[in-house]
Amino acid sequence: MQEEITKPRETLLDAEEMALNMGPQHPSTHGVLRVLLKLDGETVIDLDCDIGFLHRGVEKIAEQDTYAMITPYWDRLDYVAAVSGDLCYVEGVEKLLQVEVPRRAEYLRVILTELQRIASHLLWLGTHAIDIGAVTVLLYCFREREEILKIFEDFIGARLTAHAFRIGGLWWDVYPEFETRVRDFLKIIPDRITEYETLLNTNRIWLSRTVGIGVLPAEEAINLSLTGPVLRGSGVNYDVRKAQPYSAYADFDFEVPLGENGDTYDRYLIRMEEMRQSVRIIEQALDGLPEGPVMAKVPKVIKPPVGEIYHSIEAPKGELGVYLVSDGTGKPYRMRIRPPAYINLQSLKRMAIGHLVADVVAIIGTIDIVLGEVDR
Amino acid sequence: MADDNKELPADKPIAENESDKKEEAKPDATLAERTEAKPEGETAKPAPPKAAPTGHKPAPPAKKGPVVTVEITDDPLINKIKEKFGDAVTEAVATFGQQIVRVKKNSYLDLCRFLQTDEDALFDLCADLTAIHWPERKEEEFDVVVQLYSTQKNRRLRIKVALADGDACPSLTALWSGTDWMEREAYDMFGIKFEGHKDLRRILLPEDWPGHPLRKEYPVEYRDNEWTDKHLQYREIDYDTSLIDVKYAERR
Repeated sequence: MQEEITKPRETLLDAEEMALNMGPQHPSTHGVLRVLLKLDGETVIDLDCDIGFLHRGVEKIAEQDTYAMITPYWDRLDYVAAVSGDLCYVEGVEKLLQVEVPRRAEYLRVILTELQRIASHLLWLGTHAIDIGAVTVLLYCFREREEILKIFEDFIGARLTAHAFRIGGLWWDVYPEFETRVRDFLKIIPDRITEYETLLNTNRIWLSRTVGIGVLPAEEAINLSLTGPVLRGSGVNYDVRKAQPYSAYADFDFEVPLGENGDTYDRYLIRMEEMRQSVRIIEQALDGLPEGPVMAKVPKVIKPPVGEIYHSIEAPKGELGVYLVSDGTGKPYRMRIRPPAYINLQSLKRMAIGHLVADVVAIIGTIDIVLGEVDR
Repeated sequence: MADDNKELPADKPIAENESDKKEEAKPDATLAERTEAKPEGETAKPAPPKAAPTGHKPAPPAKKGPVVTVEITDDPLINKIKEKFGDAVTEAVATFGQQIVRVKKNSYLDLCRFLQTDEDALFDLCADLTAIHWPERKEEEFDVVVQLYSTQKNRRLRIKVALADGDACPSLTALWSGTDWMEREAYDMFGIKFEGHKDLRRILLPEDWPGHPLRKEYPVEYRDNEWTDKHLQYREIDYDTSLIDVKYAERR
């Protein structure tokens, strides 16, 4: 007994490394993400992501389909932000075809994608909060998200995989009450965002679970190819809407919120502020909504000239890009999707090492992944 | 793919007419583009509908379509790259206003390092890395395509490097750690090996998956019963592998 106590601590306590398998059916992984954790006690010392459970081979399918047939697949990549996916693809093809989209269509596209951004951020906030233990927020978030989904449903016919855009514009013009309904929603949402913040901003548990968790310095975030709120949380001012405006974004006045510390709390604040900025954009777009057609003249059989294009937009999760190579036929020779969630997920390893197991859940939440887009 | 152009022959003249109209109605195509493109358009034959890409751009313009690819002549950074790398830069063009630099494999890593550190370039964010399979091109069946972005200069540049089938491509993970998963995906989907990548495994497909799906020879209709037997102990249908190349409708 005496002998044992005088032994150095390491040999007294058996400090074994443990492997822990998290997912693919874990609720906090937001889908089918499997994370293999190597633990020392409760501290993560290494991890490996196992993805691909939802791989459908969209890039291969696209090579067999005509340009118009591919669009619905983009709804199903990031299925909580279907409209943003559509926008990226149709604008890429429009650039290839050199089609000028009518102004009214561009404004409506901006309105719909910004509504989608709010819906996506609301879903993110609800699930992120429930992962950390703040269960109430989810119900409130879904209440407001429901309003957006109803607006979508009445316009597009679908709630989730809202296939709103066609190559060249929109398939239909919006219904007469569309504007009033969006304005009604804009009236309530800023107060509701404040309401969520009341629940969380100074909540002690929320703060201790987010402040200082998953810190990423700016240089590292850039080097890791991160985009979207995860990059801006580290204070890098890169928003595709501002840096290289597409659609009608050059017409609108809005701010790009930036973080300072690059931790989970900053990324939370940024997404909250982004929702407010989206409200501003939608208001301006509704005020200046031009009259006119919503569909450009597009040939029935879409055959872009030989060439290639990379087009990217600021999706709720980051820079969503499409790289299209056309060989002059009716089907793309190659379509590459630049998925923000897939590339941002790489940073999980960098952010989680040194933190506790419970923080891995918070960090997965803060990256804001959708496995439909990660696995494609 | 082969009978793309035969579908809806009645629509074809309409499509052409429309694109003609479109070209006329677009005065904002830059003057320089037009003047520069004109001699090319006269000498080059109209491209056959499914031409084997030659790999040496500017490619012949599509039938009656607008000319989209022009040589870059007056860009300070591109000139600097040309000066520094000389013959290694085989092509510097702009397609739809997007700049593309094609480089030989030996200088690929040096060029990327130069682009990341040089004060005129400062491409600090590697937005995307992918590959394209061109089976008809001899000895350069693959293109690795890198999309770079500079957060400080707010500009994009696309780097391309051609590889023969089985060639290893230098890895960019030492420069941009974000290329880790992108290169793993390119390996997974095309079978391109990246030299210097520390953890080159399949990422989206299972470890022992046969073949690389985004290669052009990989069939779309394909079921690997051996794999499902082994891992899932489940066989949906008995499948004759000799039918792999037969179209779905015909097989029915």
